[in-house]
Amino acid sequence: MTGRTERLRRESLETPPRISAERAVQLTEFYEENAGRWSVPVTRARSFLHLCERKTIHLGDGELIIGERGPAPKVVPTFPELTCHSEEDLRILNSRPKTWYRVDDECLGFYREKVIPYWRGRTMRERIFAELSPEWHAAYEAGIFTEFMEQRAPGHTVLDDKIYRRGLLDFKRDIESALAALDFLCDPEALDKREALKSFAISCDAVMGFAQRHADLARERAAAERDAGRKAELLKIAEVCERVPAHAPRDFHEALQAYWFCHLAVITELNGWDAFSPGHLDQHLLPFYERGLADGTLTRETARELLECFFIKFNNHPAPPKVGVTAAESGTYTDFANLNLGGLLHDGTDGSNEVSHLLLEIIDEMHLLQPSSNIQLSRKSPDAFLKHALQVIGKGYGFPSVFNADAVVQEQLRQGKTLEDARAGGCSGCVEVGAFGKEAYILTGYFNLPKVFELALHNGVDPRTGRQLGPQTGEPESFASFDEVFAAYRAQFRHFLNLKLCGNRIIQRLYATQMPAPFLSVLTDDCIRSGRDYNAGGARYNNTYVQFVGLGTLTDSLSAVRELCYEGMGSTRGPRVTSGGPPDAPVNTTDPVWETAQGLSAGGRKEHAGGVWSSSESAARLFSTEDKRVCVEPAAGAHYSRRNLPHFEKPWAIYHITFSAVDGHQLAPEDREIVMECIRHWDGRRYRLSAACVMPDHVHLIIQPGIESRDVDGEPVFYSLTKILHTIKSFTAHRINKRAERDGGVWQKESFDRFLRSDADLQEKIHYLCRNPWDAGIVAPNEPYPWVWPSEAMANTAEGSTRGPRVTSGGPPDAPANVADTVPGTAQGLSAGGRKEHAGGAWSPTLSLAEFVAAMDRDFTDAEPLRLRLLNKTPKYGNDNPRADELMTWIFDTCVEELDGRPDGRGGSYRVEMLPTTCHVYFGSVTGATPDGRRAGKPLSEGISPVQGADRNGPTAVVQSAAKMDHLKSGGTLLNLKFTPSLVATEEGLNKWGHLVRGYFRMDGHHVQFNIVDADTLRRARENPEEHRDLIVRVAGYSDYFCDLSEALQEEIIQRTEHEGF
Amino acid sequence: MIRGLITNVQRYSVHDGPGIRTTVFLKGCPLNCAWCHNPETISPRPELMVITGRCVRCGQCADACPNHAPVGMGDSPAALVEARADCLVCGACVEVCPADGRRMVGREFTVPELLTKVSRDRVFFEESGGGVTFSGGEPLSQFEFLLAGATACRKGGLHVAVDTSGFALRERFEALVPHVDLFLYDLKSLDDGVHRRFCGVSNRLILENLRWLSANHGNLWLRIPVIPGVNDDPRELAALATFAAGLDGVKQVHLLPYHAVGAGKRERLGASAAGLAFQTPSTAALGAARAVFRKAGLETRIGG
Repeated sequence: MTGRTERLRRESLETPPRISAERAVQLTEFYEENAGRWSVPVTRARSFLHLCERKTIHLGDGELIIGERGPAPKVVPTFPELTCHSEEDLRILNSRPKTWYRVDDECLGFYREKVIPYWRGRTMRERIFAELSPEWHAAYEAGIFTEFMEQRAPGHTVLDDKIYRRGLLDFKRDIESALAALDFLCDPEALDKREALKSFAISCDAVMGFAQRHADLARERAAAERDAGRKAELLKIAEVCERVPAHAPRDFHEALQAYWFCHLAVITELNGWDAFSPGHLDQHLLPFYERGLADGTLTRETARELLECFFIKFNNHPAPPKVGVTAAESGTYTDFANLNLGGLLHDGTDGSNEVSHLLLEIIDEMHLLQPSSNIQLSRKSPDAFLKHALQVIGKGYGFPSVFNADAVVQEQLRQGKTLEDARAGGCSGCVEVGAFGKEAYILTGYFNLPKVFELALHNGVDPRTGRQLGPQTGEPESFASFDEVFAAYRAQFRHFLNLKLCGNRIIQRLYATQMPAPFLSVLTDDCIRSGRDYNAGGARYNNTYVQFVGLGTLTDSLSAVRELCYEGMGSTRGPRVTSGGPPDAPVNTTDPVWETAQGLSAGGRKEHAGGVWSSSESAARLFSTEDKRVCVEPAAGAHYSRRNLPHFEKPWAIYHITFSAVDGHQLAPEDREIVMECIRHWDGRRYRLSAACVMPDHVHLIIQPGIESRDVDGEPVFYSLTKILHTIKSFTAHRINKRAERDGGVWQKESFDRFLRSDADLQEKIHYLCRNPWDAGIVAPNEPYPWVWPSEAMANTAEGSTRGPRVTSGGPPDAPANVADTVPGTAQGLSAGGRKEHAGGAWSPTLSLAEFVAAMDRDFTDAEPLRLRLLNKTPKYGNDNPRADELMTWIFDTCVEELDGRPDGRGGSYRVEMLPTTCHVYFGSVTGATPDGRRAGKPLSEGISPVQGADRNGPTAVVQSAAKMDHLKSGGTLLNLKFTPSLVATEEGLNKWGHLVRGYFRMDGHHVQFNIVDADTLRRARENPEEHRDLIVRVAGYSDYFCDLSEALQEEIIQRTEHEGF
Repeated sequence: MIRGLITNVQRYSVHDGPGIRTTVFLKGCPLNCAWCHNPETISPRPELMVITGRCVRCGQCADACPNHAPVGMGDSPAALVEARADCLVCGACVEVCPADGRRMVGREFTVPELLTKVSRDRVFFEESGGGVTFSGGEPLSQFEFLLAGATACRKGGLHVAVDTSGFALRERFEALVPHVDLFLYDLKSLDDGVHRRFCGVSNRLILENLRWLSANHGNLWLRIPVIPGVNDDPRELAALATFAAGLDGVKQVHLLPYHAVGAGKRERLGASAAGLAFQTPSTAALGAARAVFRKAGLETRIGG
């Protein structure tokens, strides 16, 4: 920075933001006098002219680029024609602790006397709200969606290169030609078009007059200036302002000033969302930069100073504050103007250049809140460009963010744009793609996905208010399968999306007819050619977005529901056979997959059990209990496992296992008790026990191993017989030896297992087992033998009914009450981790959805173990876990299927965007506890990022998960990653970081931004590890999860991070 | 089928070789270095790690434990020791602990399972010139698995690095050399007395293997932990540098500053004695050490 820009920057930072009533008052005066005299477009254009002719203009000391929206830097005008602040709003703005705006008494007086009395009932906000349905209002108030246009006008737009090639006078000639070409004979819209074109021309005059006033001011100041240097600068400013934007700029200075006047004009005419952005500034400025260096009128340093002055202008313009209840909450000063660096040229070659690097240096040095910046990284972008950007990002400002330029082009091609227009496009304020200077792409509001799921879990009722907001899609207990749960969600989703789109149609029409934007239309192709306003579909391309929020929270919630209530490790059902995609909405649709998987009784596994029971298969014995080695072909799907014997492990197989005591060892009754207790202990944890018998010298058991985990593809991995037997044998041996105070082996190493192939086979074996002590003559026929389970009588009962609950379902035997009592861990209520009736581990946790919902409704009060289990033990999005990520794609695909391509109100199409800005906080505040373990009121996940703290496999896993959605079908996704400064401090760390980004983009990722965490974040992580389990820090020569480190080490790293500073 | 016992498969591992890597930590090490920062990889058997601070006293581990006495639930150190003695390391308490306060250290993988897992980050390996690093523990201790794993990774087109203490039979290195792109070779001290005292074994085999590998593989990165009071004496460092400079196969030297991270882990594994405590080397001392190696003509950096 030079001394000048350092001072200007400081002034910009230190000047408190203020509200000015000037624009409101001048506009009110204009409307009081002129409302109704002309057509709406001409009235709007004339009001704009009125403002440009009268508003206070400013030329600060030392400034090179001039012009302010308000009367002075950091002074913000208001837009009562859109939203009129109440006196209370203004007082709140003045007094709120964060992002306050000073409001003086004079301003309040103007509002009280003049502005409010005129605009009450006439603002766009009030007109919009009056037209929307009660259902829309109910959903809006419940926090299911927000509405952008109730606060600001459609905007989100970016300029292309046209103003650097042509002046407003050129555009006026175009307008005149268009007017001349109007066909009043045949075109029914000819009058509308004439009025629009007239408004365009008036707006050009307004802006040129506005520039001339600045030129005059500069000359006036020059005349009074004593300092020769400054005098020359002022004369140059005057010359620049006389030239642009009426004519095309000739040099670097004129180019910047031309843009700035256009910027001011767009944000003065209306208060469009995200202000206005210069787009590919580096590409636009390059010709002027090169020409200046070549002819000696510019140096790198003077160019840099001009750019710094230009940056400060953005920072002088905090966003106009909102009205209504949200005024009490903190917002942000940023107005989301955004620079695109790099990217592609029209011809598809790399667009980064020397000015890109110059801009990166300035972003780094000035680190102002505004303008925001991003790099458009293509396969063709050089690594040096990426690395330079990463160095800046590594400083921890949060910008520039990084976009995939190739994906941005493809997304736009999918939207039907030409290749050239797509390449000249990029991203505007947030992450949405647009054809710069040729498109109206309007964001209409955020959409709360987890809230919709909350309604699906409550039959359409909002549990916060008890109001029936959505359709009745079923009480939780009515969902027989997870697909039915998802179908209910989808039905609710469709309902509220449609409600939102109906509202949008009203709002878009109101803007098209009542609130045109003439000057923005001049800057946007092809409004002049079509004679239509930007807000009425005049642009070459029109797209409308709905921004979906809470993808991570919803994914993890669905995952938890599926895992705990339907198909998880603890479920009695088999895994889903196929996963074709999200089930469709009709609530009563029966998914064919489930029909097969449901089977016979509750939790039946017909599909899988089929292989076990139905015995069209040859009854060839795999192994006999006597014969050790009979070699056969493995059954399909069987896993071969190396142990003492060849074994085949088949999903959901039931085995008869026998193992013997070492030769000569006889188990005392106490020992048999130990063994039986141990076998019973694991029932419901690692296997289901059908029968067991502990004989004095050997043990029989019939078990069905449960699911231990899921492999990398999400397929179930069953407990191996090896593991099961090892646990039983080593534990009992240890206890038996301890009791007898002896050493040495208890059990023979080998065990025998036999895969039971049919119901009859199973019956026979259970029978055999339960009669064994009597048949073997260990006990007399009428004496009891306590180490058989279940008792012979029960076995007979089971045998009596061919499909008794135990045998056919493979379910836990209906043990008598006294047995249940002795099973440790039974009768643990919900509070002990949600195990309703059976002990923990493999089979247990089948929690009914109704109970789960009840626990959430209590915000997990008294159910902390359940909540922790949800946080720690269910599959989470962001870990490259296929089980969870599959659900993420269902949610995303549902958004695309329900929204993408539907017609909007301006002749364009709807598009999906996954963007939260800060709305995940508000949406969280209106959403109760969610099944992922999130407490009521806490923020939702943002963008497509995983839930805060849920990703625990490092950044490549996050990125892999995020890449599983088809980004190219969206119009923008936002991914946040956290890094600590030490990870990216070295050259090598920086390189690897770059490779991470390139890898993500190779998989079509759309955008990623990096939060470089500071010491405060680490402190918060120490206090509240739950939400920060994803934080990786470099310890020394290696990296680790921060929350896994000892307290002392955590403290040390906090100190070090603090020391490194920024 | 061969199975390996693995403590962790760590993705985006950026300190264990070139590029973005996935590091496979094999369990079991014949050395027992006093400063070991991965003490959970020393024992060749599965172990139970308990993070007591996370316990919410829900009692589910007690239900699940066949002894009904899960490690870490007892308040007194004596109870802890007794629970450890009876613990089967069956993992039942780990499965039910909702608070993630218990971990099984050591999980069996087959080679195909491991290959599937490490291949997931292939796109990042390709972007960055990264790959798979077998570390530990001493990966050569599970030699059959390591050899099969390295061969499979290579066959799958992945760059393979092996991080070794060098304490293994020569034949194993001979068999491994054709299947490994890079050796990360740890060297602690040239002084056999010091080595025996702090690492539990002689350094003779280690030095012999290093010389042999240098001559017969030719792509080694030497990794030297800098432990104050053990090997940070200027003369010792100079000797190490001279020795390393004489080995043609050594392409880079990484000085790894001692860190106390192992102590916390030992505690969680139930080690009674905290072991020896060392100082963390100062930045200045590390800079000086680096200068010694650079002066010897070695490309040297601090950290992995």
